[in-house]
Amino acid sequence: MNSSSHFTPPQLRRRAFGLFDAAVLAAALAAVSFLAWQAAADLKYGWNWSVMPQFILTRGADGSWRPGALGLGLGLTLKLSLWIAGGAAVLGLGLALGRLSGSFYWRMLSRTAVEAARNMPPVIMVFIFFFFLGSQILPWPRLIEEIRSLPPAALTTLEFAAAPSGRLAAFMSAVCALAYYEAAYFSEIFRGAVLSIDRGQWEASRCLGLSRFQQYRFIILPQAGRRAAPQLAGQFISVVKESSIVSVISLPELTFRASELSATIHQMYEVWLTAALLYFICNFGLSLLFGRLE
Amino acid sequence: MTGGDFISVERIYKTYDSGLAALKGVSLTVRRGETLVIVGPSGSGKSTLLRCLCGLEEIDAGAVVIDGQVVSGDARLRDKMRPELGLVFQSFNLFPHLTVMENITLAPVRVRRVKAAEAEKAAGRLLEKVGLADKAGARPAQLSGGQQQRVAIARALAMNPRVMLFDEVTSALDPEMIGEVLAVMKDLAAEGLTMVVVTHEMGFAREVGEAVVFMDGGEVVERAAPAARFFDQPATDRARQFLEKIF
Ligand SMILES: Nc1ncnc2c1ncn2[C@@H]1O[C@H](COP(=O)(O)OP(=O)(O)OP(=O)(O)O)[C@@H](O)[C@H]1O
Ligand SMILES: [Mg+2]
Repeated sequence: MNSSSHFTPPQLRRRAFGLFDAAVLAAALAAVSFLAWQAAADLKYGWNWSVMPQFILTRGADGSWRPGALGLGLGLTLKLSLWIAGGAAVLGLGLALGRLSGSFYWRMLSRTAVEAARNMPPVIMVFIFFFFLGSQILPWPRLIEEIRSLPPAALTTLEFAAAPSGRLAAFMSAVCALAYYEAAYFSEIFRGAVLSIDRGQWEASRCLGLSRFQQYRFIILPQAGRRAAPQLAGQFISVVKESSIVSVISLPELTFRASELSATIHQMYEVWLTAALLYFICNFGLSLLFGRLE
Repeated sequence: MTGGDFISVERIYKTYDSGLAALKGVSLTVRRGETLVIVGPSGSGKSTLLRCLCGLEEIDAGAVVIDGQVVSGDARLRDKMRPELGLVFQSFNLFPHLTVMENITLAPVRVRRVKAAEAEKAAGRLLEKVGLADKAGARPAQLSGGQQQRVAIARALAMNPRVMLFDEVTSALDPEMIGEVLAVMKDLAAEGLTMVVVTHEMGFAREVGEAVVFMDGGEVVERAAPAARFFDQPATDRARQFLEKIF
């Protein structure tokens, strides 16, 4: 037997582009071309892509660049996503630790919270937080008054980081609702990562006299965090997509802006395709970025 | 200081959740400054005994007395006593995300509240003692097994424990690294540190052990002092059979 062929891993040979791959690719191309041809021929629709760029980025009267409607929407989508993911990470870590706790009470409490979040549609949670909690129970209006009386610098910062004070109540209830919803998934990721840490790490640190809190802080969570990072990054991309449902409470994020725009101008298809493309570029860019960071 | 029992184990029983009785009425004592070697076939309960000593496992009956205090059944006292017992594992269990220096200083700083600079100075001395002064900044993954195990010993010593427990610390090592770890342990024994050593290294046991306990089937079958007497003239048939299988 020839020794060099003996050491060739079998996967390497299978990587070649085979007949089956070619067939799949051809079928996919055919399907796409058919749709495109249908769109071009049958659809009585005057495509006009040239109006779209201005809705992403436009030049103001003074010559400075400013975001158009979709650009503004994308900005709000990203802001929302950061707040939601931040809240979900904190709450999710808490729920994970609760579920791993030695106390039956904490385990049941966090389990219940997780199951509640996981078994309800997020859009309904957004409604509940906005209409019931936001307007009836939570003291948002009073809070907003307080916020309006902040020093101007603080107010500007807050409005930049979150939303204008007029929309702050909606923004905050949306963040709370989705942060809670997403916390269930974040907690599952954290819990899995903690459970994947070798038992010897717990035992060695316990023998050295570390308290449970110190074990988590110095030994377990630093390692679990590193292990969870790829999944957390993936979950963040879900958050960006998931955030589109807050359009139901009229927060002008990307999806809301797109639906508004598609109702006011003629280029409905272009608007939705552009919005889809913006989501894709943003998320694909994020996943490339996360991949680079690892 | 020598003489007097530092650890006294009184008729302890341990049955795992699986229903397996790992310890069936084990009694033994460890004197101050003594090196006690525990030998016995696989599954005889040696690791379980060490884990019960330092409270990693709860015992079902009996008592563990350390320095005159009954620690079994008293969680608070046991937590307080735990740093007095340094346990070294077969599988090292170093903290992979920390450097060698951080592995060693973490517990003194966080548990004993030693100042960081002081803890590092002490850690430097310990690293010198185990022959790894140049590895302070390395991560565990960059070290050989023998080096990792010596760091684990230094980490346990950094808490100034009053007794060191070694659970087959050379079993996971390549043969050429066993010697370097045993040499460190020999030094410690010579310094008069109280040690309980579970080992399959019979040459080491014979040379360093001031007393030997032979366990089989969750029981102490035989205790002999000095160790050489056990290896030359075992008192029981079970011990004889065990030794015949090994040599
Ligand atoms: N966590 C556990 N759950 C259930 N059974 C266990 C557990 N740990 C150990 N045992 C069982 O208890 C018995 C004693 O195990 P132990 O590890 O104390 O033996 P040992 O003398 O240290 O053996 P070895 O020389 O192989 O390390 C064995 O039969 C083992 O299978
Ligand atoms: Mg063992």
